[in-house]
Amino acid sequence: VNPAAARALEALPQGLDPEPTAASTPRAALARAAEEASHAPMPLGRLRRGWILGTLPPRIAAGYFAAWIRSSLADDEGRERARHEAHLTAALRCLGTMTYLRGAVAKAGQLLAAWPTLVPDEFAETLAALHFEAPPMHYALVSEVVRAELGGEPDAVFAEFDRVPFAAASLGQVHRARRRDGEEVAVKVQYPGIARTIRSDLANLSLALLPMRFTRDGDLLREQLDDVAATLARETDYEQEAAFQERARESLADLDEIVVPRVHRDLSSPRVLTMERLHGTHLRAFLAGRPSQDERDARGRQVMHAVFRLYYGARLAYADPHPGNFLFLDDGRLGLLDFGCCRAFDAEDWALLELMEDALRVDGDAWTRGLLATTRTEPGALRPEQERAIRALADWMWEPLRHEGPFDLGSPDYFPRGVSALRDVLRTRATRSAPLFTWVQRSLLGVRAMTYQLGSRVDMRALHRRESEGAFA
Amino acid sequence: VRVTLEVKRRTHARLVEAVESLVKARGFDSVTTRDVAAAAGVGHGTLFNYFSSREALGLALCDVFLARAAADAARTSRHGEGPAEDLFALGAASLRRLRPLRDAAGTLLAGVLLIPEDAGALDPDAPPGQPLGVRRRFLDAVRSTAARHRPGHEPDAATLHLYASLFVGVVTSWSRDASPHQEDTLALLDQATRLFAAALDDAPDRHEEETP
Repeated sequence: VNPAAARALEALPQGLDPEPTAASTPRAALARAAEEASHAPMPLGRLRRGWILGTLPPRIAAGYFAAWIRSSLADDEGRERARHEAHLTAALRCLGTMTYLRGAVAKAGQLLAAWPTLVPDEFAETLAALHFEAPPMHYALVSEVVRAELGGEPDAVFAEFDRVPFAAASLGQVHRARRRDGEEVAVKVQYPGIARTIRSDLANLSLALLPMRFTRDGDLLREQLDDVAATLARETDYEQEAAFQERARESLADLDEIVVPRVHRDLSSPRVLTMERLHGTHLRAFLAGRPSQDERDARGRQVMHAVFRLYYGARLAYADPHPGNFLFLDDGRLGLLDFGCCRAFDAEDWALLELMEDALRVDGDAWTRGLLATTRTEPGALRPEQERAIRALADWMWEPLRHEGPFDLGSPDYFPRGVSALRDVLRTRATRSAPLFTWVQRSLLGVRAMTYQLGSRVDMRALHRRESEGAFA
Repeated sequence: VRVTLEVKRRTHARLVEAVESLVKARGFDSVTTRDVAAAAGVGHGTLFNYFSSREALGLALCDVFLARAAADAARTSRHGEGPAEDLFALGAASLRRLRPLRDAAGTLLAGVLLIPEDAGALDPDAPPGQPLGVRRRFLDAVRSTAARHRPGHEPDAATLHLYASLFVGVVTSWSRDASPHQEDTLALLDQATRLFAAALDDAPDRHEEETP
């Protein structure tokens, strides 16, 4: 267990077990919760449950969850705190009993881990551990899903269909195939029933947390969970994902350097998503090829350009920008692969984002207005050190956009400074925010982490100016 | 009048054909023994020389469907990665064939698949529909599918009974599955066949046990 994960596990309440003597460590308490869960009257409960909380990433996710909730209990005293700890324990039990399937807890854990009270390297590590955890499907099962969704077995619907998946995907896996007209495609197939299971699990979790709505920030906690549930509902529906993908493809259509695979609607459904197949390498392989600085800069510029365009042009937060979702094509273009985890901005969101951008750009009154709106606080509610911490983080985010000429996103100090700025925000518990910012922050930090690894120098100011021009008309 | 074995066999087959077309047309619940006798062109009383009840008729139809499913799976399955996959394919083929009996199959099969086999009572020439014959044929298909990946390692009676229980559970759950495309049943079948495949792997190796 890495130190960050160990800290997360320490955040689990001692009271997770009703008999404190029986389990004095979080680890033992969780093991016991898993044991209890296995006795629940569910089909095949023992098999599935033993499988779930027995593995480390879900337990770490539970720990992060506990840490997140606890940050909202910090100001409570004595009996109130004990009462809320009891609710937290109940919620964690619920988390432990969630997930008939491993993929479900991984997905929920992934989302929990992405909440904003975590420092980036911690959640990056956890995301890495949680990723690609949907239960593997053998071909016979894939074939049944395709038959149910598309009306025929893969061999009948496609000219060729590779029986072995080449990648894992959100709640499923991806197979190489060829259309009858000869075009190469990638086919994402979702594990049956998993989407509905996760949705009901999250609804249950939300119910378990209901009594906590009277805590400080309890309203926001509820709102955050609802937002996660809503986003998850979209993410688990491949038709919705197809819609985001088409929106992104259209928005990026005039940028020759960036490509979003075309969706084949005739071979897609809520559980099967067929798209154009791209050929290229991912970050790790790209870096292993010892690319020149020019190549690194070009790739970083493409990544930033795509994300700016999606944000300002398509009004989408590309909220899961991990390296697996970017493909460096052999012909020099950048491919954007996965649109499962996107957040679309409505008019109200957009107004809030405009306030935030003004706050960062203009300062003075605008800063105060933006700060109050984005943290949902009354004037004077934030302590000076909280405001300073938020300010420092905002300045860090904005720094590359104030810099004239290429900004070195891969410099040894830039990204780590952001990590420490975020730590200060956490330390001062200045973590109130509207749910929207969870996704914006997730997108922003993910992309900065990606370009940090790439070691790119990008003229962020010029790129931002060009892409954001007229966006807030 | 002496009724030859051949005539008996043909009448039996006609009755099963009749129940199949009636069930496919209007579902098992609204099919009576009288309907079946009329459709097969035999007297109502004569039907009972072949089938003791409406349920026995339904069971005979299950038997036919399961045999077709086993043939489907044997024919179409390019063999999978392991027993879990092949058993899943067999199970999925069974559900597809049993679809006209979806409401009733769980109850009908529970009545025979969950009763432990008494080897002495087995009649190898039992006509389709005889309860022990249904169970034997069902488990034969499972046995040969499992043995494909572990030649010489026949699952024992207890392990096979576990499969029968799991399968009846899946079929029963399927009859009440309101999820889109009955996707929950697919997931359950997947979990059930994985569990059974794990039991196959855990089964003690008799040869080793016998070695001192």
